[in-house]
Order: sequence, then C-alpha cells, then structure tokens
Amino acid sequence: MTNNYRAYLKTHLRNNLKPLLFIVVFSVVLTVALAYTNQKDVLNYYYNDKIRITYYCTIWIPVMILAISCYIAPYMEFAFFKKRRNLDCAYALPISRKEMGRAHYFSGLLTIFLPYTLSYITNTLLMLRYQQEYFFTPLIPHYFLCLLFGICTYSIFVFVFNEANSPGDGIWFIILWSAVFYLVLSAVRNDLFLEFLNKTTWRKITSNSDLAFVFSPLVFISEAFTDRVERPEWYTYTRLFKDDEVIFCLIFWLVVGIAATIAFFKTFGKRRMEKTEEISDSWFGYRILVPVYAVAGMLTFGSSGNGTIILEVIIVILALLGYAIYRRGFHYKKSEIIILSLLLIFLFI
Amino acid sequence: MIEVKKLSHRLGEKIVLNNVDITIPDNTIVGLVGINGAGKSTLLRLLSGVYNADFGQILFDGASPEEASTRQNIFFLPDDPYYTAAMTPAKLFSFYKTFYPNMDKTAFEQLIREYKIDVKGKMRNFSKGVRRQVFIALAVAIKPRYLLLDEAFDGLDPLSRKLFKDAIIEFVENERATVIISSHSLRELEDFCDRFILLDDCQVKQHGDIAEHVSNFCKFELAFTDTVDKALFADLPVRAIDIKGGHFVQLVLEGDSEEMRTLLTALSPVVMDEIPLDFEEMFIHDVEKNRGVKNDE
Repeated sequence: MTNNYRAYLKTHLRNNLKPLLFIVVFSVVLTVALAYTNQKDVLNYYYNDKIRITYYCTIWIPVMILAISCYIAPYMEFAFFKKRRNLDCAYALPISRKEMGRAHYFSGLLTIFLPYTLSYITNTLLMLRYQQEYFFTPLIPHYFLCLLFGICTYSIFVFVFNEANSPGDGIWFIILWSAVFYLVLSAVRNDLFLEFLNKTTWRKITSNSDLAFVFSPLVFISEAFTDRVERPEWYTYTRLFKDDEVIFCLIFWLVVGIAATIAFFKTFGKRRMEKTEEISDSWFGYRILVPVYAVAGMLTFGSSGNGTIILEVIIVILALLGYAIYRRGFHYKKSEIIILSLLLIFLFI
Repeated sequence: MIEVKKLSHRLGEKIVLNNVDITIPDNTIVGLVGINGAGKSTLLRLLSGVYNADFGQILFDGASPEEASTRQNIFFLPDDPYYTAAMTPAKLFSFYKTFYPNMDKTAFEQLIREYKIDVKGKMRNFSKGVRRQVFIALAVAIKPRYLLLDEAFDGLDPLSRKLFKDAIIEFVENERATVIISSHSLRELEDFCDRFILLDDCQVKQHGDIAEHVSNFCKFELAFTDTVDKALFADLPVRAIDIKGGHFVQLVLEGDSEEMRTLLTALSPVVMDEIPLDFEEMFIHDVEKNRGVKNDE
C-alpha cells in the first residue's frame, strides 16, 4: 500500500463524506419510520386455543436498505471514471489505476456497510422496545450473512458498471444483470429446449427461478432468520424455499460475487481510457444482455410459453429499443439484424 | 530526458500517431504544434500516462509513465481540467499536495495573487481563463521535473499570457525542468520555446530548435517590370511562392539569406526586400509542404 494510495483514499473519503452522511441519515430515518409503522401492525392468531398477539418481525428493513445501497454505491463510486475530462486529471496522478480502483471499491463498501449497520442497530433497538418476546441471538448471524451477500451483490454491480463506457450504460447493465439469471431460468423451466437434461436434478435446481434474482440470497436469509427470530412454538412460518434450492442459490451467488470481485480487480487497471464515453461494447453488456433478454423473454412470456402474441411483439420492440440504446441510434450491425430477424421469425412461427 | 521510440497509437479504428520517434533533452521548453486532429493531445496523454501506448515506448529518464512512480515527476494540465462542484483553489491545492508533498505554497499563492483570483472562490463560478490560471499556478507550485500543458494559452488574456510565460521561464530556470506545451498560438510559443515538434499526418514532420529552424529560411519581396511566372524560380529552393498581378512576388526560400539574395539578384528584379519570417508562417509552409508531398504521391 503506497503513501499515494492512502492519500488518495483519505481525500476520496473526505470528498464522499457529505453524500455518505446523507445516505446514512436517510437510512436511519427510513428505518425508524418503517419499523415504527410495521411493528405497530399486530398479527393475531390462535395457539392452544388462546389468542396470541405479536408484531411483524422487521428484520427486512435494514436488508432492504442494504439492497438499495448496492445499487447506489457503484454509481457513486465509479461514475467518475466514465468521463474523459475526469480521467485526464485522475490517470495522470502518481497513483496506479489498480490502487485507484481499490480505493473506490472500498469506499463503496463503506456506502453499503454504514447505512446497513446503522439501520440494523436502529431496527434492533426498536425491536427490543416493541418485540421483546422475539429471539434476538439469530440477528447476529443474520446481520453478517446479509452483509456478506450484500458485498457479493455490490461486487457484481461494480464489475458490470465498470464494463460500461458511460454512467447511463452502467445503470442499464446493473438493472439488466439483476434479473438476467431469473429470466434465463424461467425460460429454461418451460422445458422448450432442455429435454436432454436430467429433469429431476435440473428441476430441483430450477424449480424456483425466484432464487436466481440477484437479491434472492438476501430474501432467503431474511426469510429463514425471521423464522428463527419469531418464537417457533407460537407460529410456524410457511417458508417459500426448500433447503437444497437455497443452498444452491447461496453457493451460486457467492461464486458469482467472488468471480465478479476478481474480475473487477483484474480488469479495472487495464481498461483503455480512450473507450470512455464511447459505445459500451463489452461482452458483459448489451451485446449479450439484449439477445439473452429477448430470447428468454420470448420463451417465458411468448405465446409458446405462458404469454400471448402481444407480449412477443412487445419483446421484439424492446429488443429493437435495447439495440438502439446500445448503438445510441437506430443503426444496427449485421449480427444484431440477424438476431432481430430470428426473433421476428420466431414471432411469426 | 524524454525518449519516444516507435510510438503508434489508435483511437478506435483511426491511427492517431504512427511510428513517432523523438528525444527531448532536459531543461528545455518545447512547443508541440500541429493542425487540429494532428495528435497533439493524444501525444500529451500518452506522455502523461493517461493513455497506454498501443505500440512503442515512452521513457522519462528510462522509466515508463505508465508506472505511478514515474508520474510523481510529471504534471499534466489537460485542455479542460477536472474539478468538483465544491472545489476552490485552496482545496485544489490541498488535494494535489497529497500527491506532491513538496508543493510550493508560496509560489502558488504568489501566482494566485498576481492573477487576482479569490483563493476561496468556487471554481465552477470562475471563467475558463481564470480556472486555467488556477491550474497554471498549481502546475508551477508542484514543480514537476516534466510539465505537460495542453492548449496552454486557451482562454488567457494578454496580461495573463505574459504572467504565464514569465512563470514558466522562471520555473524552468530554477528547477531545470522540461516543459512541453501544445498550442495554436505559435507566436506565443516562438517567444519562449527553445524547441518545437511539428505533428502532421500522424507523424513528427519537423522538430528541433525554433530559432535554428526559422534561420534556415528567408523571405523576400520582389517586383519585376516584365510579367513573371513560377517557372522563373524553378531552380531556386522555393518553399512557398505567391505571385500577384504577374509582377509582384513573395518568396520563402530554404537556405542562407545572403546566398539566396545573390541568386535572386541574378533574376534582375527592380525591387528586392528581405522581410522577417516568423514561426507561424514557417508552420503554415511546413504543413502545406507536407500536404503537397502527400498529394504528389
């Protein structure tokens, strides 16, 4: 760690202090507002012929704030690198690009860590006040597990954001990557082209495509821990997901998160500054996402899937728009015209 | 010493620099000239480590600017430098001081005073020229061994230009630094640059000592009683020729002026005057010549 890295990180954190404070304060205020409202909502049920009253468990509030921070932090930290004017000065500084990327990555971690942690503490204090009958020990592993998967999600978003050459494209990449696996799994579940796979195993894994959404681990963990926080003898929670599905989901997103982190640190220092503000032609961007969304959308929502022909027309229009956003105009390349033509053929079949 | 060896670079599909070779000695002020799109800014970005070269090598005292440690000795001032919305000259100074701990606060404050800039004013409220002045003051205060300035005079008023040139000359004398300045104000460059590099058609077309380069050429105004055409001067080393009304000729010749005067006398002009030739004119003739060679090919 060089002196210049420390100096850069210090200066960067100081410059980010105001927006970070704003996010932290906003998160705490939001937590108080949501927790207060929800904890006052009572849940009545019978247990041993006696009516029992408890309150909704609100551990989802800090997790929701963590999820929102995962979207905000990559933009806050890396939009700077999407303007040539900024890079003319930044890349001429006596600090390596790798170190600069590391500084922004860790500063982004603070942007997810601080609001989440303070929101968690606030929510726990409110739970201690209003929901004393709950078990609080499971909150500790819940906090750390969510933080771990929050970091994974943040890393994925950081990587895909940095594959874009403009902040706008970066935002699109984050949004599209959030649900790409979900959509692909939904398409696969229609069994249109996976007859050859061992359906038993495959079905087990893919039976619930909700687990393939980028925030699925956070949802699952919170759901499982809600079960443990609330008194089990009072209330049996009907869990949404089965254990084997969930383990696969956690391992999958952990692997994707680690891979994204490694890929980010490997590629950040090597990115060509000349590409900044140009069309984002990364293989992790529109180039792959538009056809994947179009095909998966057709299989899932098309007339051969669960949807209608109108939805298919909408998907073709969205694919056209997707490529227009990619190319920044209505001029398509040969490969894109082929994909669009195939979609149209699919539509008429 | 800066050594550029067989440097080539593309921006997208377009070749911007092709096989550039230059050596810039220490303690010099170099003017980087060329028409728009010649590759001046690209070369400065490559020199400063902002771009990584596609092919070839750049060495500052044997070290690549792609290494962060080499950039400790380099300061690059781009055409439109970055600053945050809340940035003031004082904050900018503090920011750069974290990277260049030996920054000279006195030199910075002195220049800021001379430019009459509010050190606590917001950069975003300053005009382009004033912002440039702040960055020039920073560049001088950093005292880098190598100072790279893109479009250095852009937005500066005549007084600021003078202050800027004085500051650079003093800086080079005191620090024994090397300065590379790109600009379209060739008359300004001629005033205080020792050397020049002319970029054209992705390559270095000319480089060397400005005074020496200009002294290799001479310019004459001639008048003839009879009508003349270009053929009359075919045997002379003509760099540029302009014939008006068939009788009046303006000539730029390559070679010693006395020798050229003797050759021209032999053509029996009724009037012959040698007129001064400046760097800007030389630049235009150099570029036109290069274009002519290319067209002939």
